[in-house]
Amino acid sequence: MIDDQFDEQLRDAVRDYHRPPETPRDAIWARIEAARQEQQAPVVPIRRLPRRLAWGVGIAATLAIGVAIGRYSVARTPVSEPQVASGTTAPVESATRPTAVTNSTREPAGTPAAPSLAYRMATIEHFTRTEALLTTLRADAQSGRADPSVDAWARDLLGTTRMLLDSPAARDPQMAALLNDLELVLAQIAALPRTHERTTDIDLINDAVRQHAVLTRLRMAIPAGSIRVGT
Amino acid sequence: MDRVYRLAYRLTGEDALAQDCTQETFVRAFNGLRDFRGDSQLSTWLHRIAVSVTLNVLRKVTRIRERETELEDVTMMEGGIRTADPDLKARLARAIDALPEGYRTVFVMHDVEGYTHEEIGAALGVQDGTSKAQLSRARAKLREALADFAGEWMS
Repeated sequence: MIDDQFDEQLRDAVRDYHRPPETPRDAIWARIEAARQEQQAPVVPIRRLPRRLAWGVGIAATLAIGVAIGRYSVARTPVSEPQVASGTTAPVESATRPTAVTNSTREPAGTPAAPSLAYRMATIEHFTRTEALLTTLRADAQSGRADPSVDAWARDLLGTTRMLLDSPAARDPQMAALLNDLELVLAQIAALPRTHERTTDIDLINDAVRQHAVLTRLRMAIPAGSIRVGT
Repeated sequence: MDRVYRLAYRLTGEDALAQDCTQETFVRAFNGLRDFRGDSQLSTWLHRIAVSVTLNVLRKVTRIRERETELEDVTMMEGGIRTADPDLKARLARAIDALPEGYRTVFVMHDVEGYTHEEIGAALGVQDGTSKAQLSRARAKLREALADFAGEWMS
């Protein structure tokens, strides 16, 4: 009886617990709108950069990353690293190196500038796959389609591109230049918006690819008779 | 928006925090709308986000205020609970604040804001039975915390 009466008293009292005022709907909607605009804000200026400037900024960023990786790699390479006699047996890749190149032969310290066969093969395969992506993107743009799966495809290729840039494959200046251009193009494809602006961005990327003759250079770098990769 | 704001206010007790939580809930909901599969009602999904956001905010705020609370507790112990605040509503508010997070959330949603156990279960990602059990334990703890007041009130 006492419990029931007390519970009833509690139920009355509990209604005043943190009693909310009237919902400030307008203020909250204004905040939501501002927060959403803020989220989208960083994308807009980059997209509106003049194309040449965008490429310049990208190249500068790539160089900065490249220099940092280079210094890091030099600092980590032991001077007395054991030499490997043949390309068939290779030392185990360090755990700190990116995993995607662990299956290929590691270049021993002090070898000539030309990358090993394994690196050349990996690079050619990568170029073939990238060519397939860029061709798909161009065909999509011409037909007015927008395949959403190209983003993930580009992200995958972007990772490999960055690892190749950090590998002996990039010792050849022409190869390095091509890989740098690919990195920029792939980064832009990977960041394509899923809004109505997607088609415009794809057109811009295709323009950049054409201006820098990326597809032509890719095809020139792929030797005749190489295996064509569909994806 | 009203229900989300009201719930956030009941749980946080502050307009600024409640507005923060409501804003964050809707921003997250808009961002994740594409991933909403329609397995549950939109309101249920929104409340799940709201409860998650609000509890996260509360945890952060609680950590910041822990020192202040400790000081308050010392003062209360020195002055004595019975004489410190004889008002049931104030005592009740303090007792609810002191409930464990899970009990408090269920108690506020059910007894204060009138959500059903089904709605609470969906928002918290627990079974209806768990919600009922937590409510029962929350009420028991409140009765226990206010036992001396109940005696005074009845006498």
